[in-house]
Amino acid sequence: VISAVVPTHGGVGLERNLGPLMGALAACGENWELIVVDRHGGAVGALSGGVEIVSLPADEGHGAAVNVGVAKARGEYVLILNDDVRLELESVRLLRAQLPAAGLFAVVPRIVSSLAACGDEGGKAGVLQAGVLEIVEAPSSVTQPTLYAVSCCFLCPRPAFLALGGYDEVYAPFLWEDVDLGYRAWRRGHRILHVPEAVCHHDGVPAPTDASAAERERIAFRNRILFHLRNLQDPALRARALGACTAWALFDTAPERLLGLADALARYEASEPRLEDGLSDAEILERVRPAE
Amino acid sequence: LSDDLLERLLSLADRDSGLSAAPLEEFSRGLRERARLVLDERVRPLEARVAVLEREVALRTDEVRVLASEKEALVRRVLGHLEQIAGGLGWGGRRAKETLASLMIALRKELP
Repeated sequence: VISAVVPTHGGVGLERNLGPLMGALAACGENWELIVVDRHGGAVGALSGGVEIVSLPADEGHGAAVNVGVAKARGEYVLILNDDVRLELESVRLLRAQLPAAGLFAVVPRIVSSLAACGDEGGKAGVLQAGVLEIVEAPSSVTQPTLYAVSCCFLCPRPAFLALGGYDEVYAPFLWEDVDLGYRAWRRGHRILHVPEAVCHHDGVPAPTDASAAERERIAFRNRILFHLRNLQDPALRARALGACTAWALFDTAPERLLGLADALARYEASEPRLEDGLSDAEILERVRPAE
Repeated sequence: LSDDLLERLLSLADRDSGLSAAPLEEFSRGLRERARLVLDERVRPLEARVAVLEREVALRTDEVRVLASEKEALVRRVLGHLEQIAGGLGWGGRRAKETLASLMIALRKELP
């Protein structure tokens, strides 16, 4: 059974995208279920086709909504996707064909989107630059490793998602929870693959309730810093990242970044410490570095 | 805000590694490399503004040079006319000649 989990923020794209999603699930040839997680309980009315709606009493962010959906799911595999993603008919079958495979945590399709300069949000690489991880686009026409499974669409075994603890809700309301999950998967020696043969389309149109540009910038920066504090374990890389943070504190003047930095420290200090065994940071970065 | 942030960051770095020799070197490296990018980002708009102002100054300088040259040509033409008029005046026009002479003296002062 494949469980598709679709968190929605008001159900904006559902009407348009549920049909293609059901078509792609059916074309896969396996049993499936579809769970819509309504982040604003009551915003989504009844849906046809046996769709299960999970209404959350309060919106606690994208990661929390996905975690609730996965907890409700009964499938061996979970297909996580945003409500503004439209799947092509063969996409689920092509992703499913990659699994199971030893050490493979997740597979990500080609995510056709104007949000990516290369036109595909699916492939990502990571490189350390001036103390912090820079995420770069890694377009490819063949299946290859990717830094993380972009949260707007990926397929993974449900037990693997649960074993990693799902999305870390410290990143609420959104952004970087997917990078964090991917990095933790790599830490444990798993792989994540970008499968460009499977295709979906991502509108990437902000929902009317989304934060302002300045607020998004603050959250993005906060979570970027939080990611480093939560994940980097190598003392030298941590020291370098903290040096970079100090440079921002000393020389940056953008209020969004200074507030984001202060907020990241507060969240980090209030969060449970995380120390995981597995690959070193250098080994992870070696596996997800951009192609020459 | 920055002072408080700085204290918290240094305290965190100290807790992490005691800022012993090797991490301190890495800390400095991160600080130095990132500071360069942050400052570049802050300086870039200023450099762009300076470049625009420099272009505007160059444009204005050209315009002033053209206007000065037009003014000189005009003064010379007017002086020529005044000399012709003065030469055509007889004894009866002595007062007018004196007026024209003082006018031409004033105009010549406008020439480079």
